[in-house]
Amino acid sequence: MILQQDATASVAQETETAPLAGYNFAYLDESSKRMVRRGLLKAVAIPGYQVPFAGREMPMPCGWGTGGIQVTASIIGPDDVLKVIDQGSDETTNAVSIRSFFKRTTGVATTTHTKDASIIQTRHRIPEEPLTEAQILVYQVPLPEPLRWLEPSEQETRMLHALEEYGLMNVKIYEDIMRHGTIAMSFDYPVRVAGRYITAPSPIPRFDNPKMHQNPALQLFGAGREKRLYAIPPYTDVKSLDFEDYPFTVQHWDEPCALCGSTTSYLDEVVLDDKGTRMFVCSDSDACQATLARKQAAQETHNQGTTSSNGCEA
Amino acid sequence: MNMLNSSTPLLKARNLTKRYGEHIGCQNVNLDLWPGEVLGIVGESGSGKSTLLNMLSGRLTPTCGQVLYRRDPSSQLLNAHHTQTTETGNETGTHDPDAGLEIDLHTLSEGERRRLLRTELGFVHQNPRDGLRMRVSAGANIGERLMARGDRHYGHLRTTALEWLDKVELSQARIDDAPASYSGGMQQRLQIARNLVTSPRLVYMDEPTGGLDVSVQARLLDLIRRLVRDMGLAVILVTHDLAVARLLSHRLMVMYHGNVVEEGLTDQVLDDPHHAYTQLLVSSILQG
Amino acid sequence: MSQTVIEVKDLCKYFILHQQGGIRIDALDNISFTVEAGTCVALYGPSGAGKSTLLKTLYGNYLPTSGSILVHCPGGVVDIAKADPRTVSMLRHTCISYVSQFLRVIPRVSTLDLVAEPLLCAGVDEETARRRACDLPARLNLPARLWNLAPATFSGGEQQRVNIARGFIRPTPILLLDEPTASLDAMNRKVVVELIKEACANDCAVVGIFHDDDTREQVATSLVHINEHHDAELKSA
Repeated sequence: MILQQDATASVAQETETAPLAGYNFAYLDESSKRMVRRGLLKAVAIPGYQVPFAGREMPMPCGWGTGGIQVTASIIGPDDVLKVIDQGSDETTNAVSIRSFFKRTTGVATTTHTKDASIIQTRHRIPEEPLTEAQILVYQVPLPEPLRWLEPSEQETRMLHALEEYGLMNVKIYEDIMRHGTIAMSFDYPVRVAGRYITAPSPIPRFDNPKMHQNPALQLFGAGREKRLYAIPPYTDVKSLDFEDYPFTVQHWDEPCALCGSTTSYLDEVVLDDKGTRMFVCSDSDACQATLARKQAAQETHNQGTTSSNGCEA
Repeated sequence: MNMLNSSTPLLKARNLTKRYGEHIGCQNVNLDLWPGEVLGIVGESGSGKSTLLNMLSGRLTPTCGQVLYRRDPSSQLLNAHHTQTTETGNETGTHDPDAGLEIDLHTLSEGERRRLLRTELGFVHQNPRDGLRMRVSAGANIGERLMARGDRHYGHLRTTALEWLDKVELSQARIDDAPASYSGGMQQRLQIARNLVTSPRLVYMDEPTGGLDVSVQARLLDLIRRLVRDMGLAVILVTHDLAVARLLSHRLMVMYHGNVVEEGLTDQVLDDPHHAYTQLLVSSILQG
Repeated sequence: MSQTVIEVKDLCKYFILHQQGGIRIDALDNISFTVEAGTCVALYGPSGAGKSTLLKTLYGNYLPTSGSILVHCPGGVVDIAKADPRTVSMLRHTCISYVSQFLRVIPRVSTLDLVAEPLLCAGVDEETARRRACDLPARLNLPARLWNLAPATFSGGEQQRVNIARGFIRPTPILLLDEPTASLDAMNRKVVVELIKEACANDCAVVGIFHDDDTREQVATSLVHINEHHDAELKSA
């Protein structure tokens, strides 16, 4: 709690000051950035293909998003506006500290509004609000290899990708149906990118998989520990794997968001007390607030409409 | 046995040689295998029979020599290889209209060779652990080749898996069990089902009854013989057990120090052996 | 004039035993004879004269040292002495049946399956093969309770009858018999004699070794006498 207060305090303090002295823009040195960018160019050229890169040490441990941070550091410029989300929220420790890291090392503007951001670094979600061609989505990836589940050898998985031998991936789905009666993978649901490479979408809920398909934004993936980059260029076909008789489906909820009433967004289950009372709320905090604001505005317009008896419907 | 009438061999080896430095793995092996034929390769440990089998199946690159496989004319993957095969298909001559069917397993690209190995060919390992995925269910083990081929219907995969469990005399109720919970004999039958599900034309078997109890062996031998007959399979069988070779194979090759010292009809080689080593081998069989 | 089916010319066979100092054992010395369709040739002579060796050579089981064995089959004339293994194998599937002295089969396979096997190998469908597989064991007085058992525990005579059933189930132009009646009782010997006569009546060329003079006299239309010098002369029975 104290830490978070400190972070918030320092963010507040630095909004007026210049970037940290003694560090290169966005922390990484320029030749490292160029190396990452070369990797990213290759990744964009071969959609879904995992490009190895010489991951650098970052001032935080692996598992905290070092892959995504190196990608963001390599592509961010002074005019960018950065948004960082963790499980859909702008306000968790991870999101706050990464945002503050880039603020201090670049001095760029940050935002929590999806539509205002030019770069969105994400852990485990895709924002609810549709992205545009002007935006880049940077994923933090813990395990980039979707075939690792059945094939421990890196040499062999590279071979399987190279030869497009993907029977193994369907073995996994078969096992899922056999065990659970349905495809039970709810996160990191494997996709086929541009009809070629099978790719791990990072642990986003499978609810978000359809958003990857033909998305106008560039999607970049960085895995810090595994030292891999990959990409889905704008307007690329992304198909979630399935069986003919067990087609891919997304999760759905029986109730709307308890805060904004949305019936179309991905909901988190929140336990409220020790008695097991729970509620479902939007995981995307920005989208939730936006919906709420729209509703309140509509409510006010409606109220005004009823008091002044103006024909709002027209 | 109508398939014995077909005039072209399914697999041909020409001057197949493998040297490990000074040491000879096996040398100058020539053979023709026809569709539906079971060829036994016998010899003691270190005689080069496994080296030969691995070269014949494309898994080990020979020092020199060729392994020419004749593709299934109905295979859809055929056209891609046509230009390449006219260079290697020298045995039948370029005037043969379907000379392009013949391909050298060792000049194929890795991807094509692997594709062939999981469609038209099969490989049954001595240790079922080498040929099975021990952590996934029997049903998925049987279905993997089909899924690799592009089958994407869970219901169909399931039906096929049940059929094959039945064919190899495994209980259909065990379809969802991982092979780790199976006995050795059951694992070996599962491995056979996993290989045969794509109806291959040629299956390589490396001591398929090797690690099994005698009682389990007998049933497996009967099963293999029945499947080979019913499916018209060609088999190259490596074994050091002459009794197994006699019961399963039509023809026999005897290997000694990396060379084929004698070959012929199985019963002829075993009942009227000519080479000194074969005579030694035959005279060493324990009488039950 | 009936048609010649088997022509044996100047057939020689010796064995070299490498494991026993390379000694040479002569088994057949310049043997010549012919067998016509619808006749039964009995090989006879003292023990060790080479009767079994000759019969096995006719089946391609032993490789002759020199000479020729011409077999006239529907597919043409083949010299078994020089044919490649595949041709011999094909002949066995289409043209030559052989009843050996001992039953040698996969353990734990039932009697009926064993009897049906030659038919299945010849491409007869499973149902027909199984139906026909019941006829011969019945004729050979093999108790029906044994039909679904594997023959490993059978008596010598019972095993031999399974073997005979396997040999006779699929009619072929040539039938080779190696002491088929050796361990049979009189009743079953009679059945075998009938089976051989029926085969001859169907234009089969039969070559056999018969232990007991009685059976031989009943079935043989001519005799090939092999003497202790391993050469032979053809006599009419």
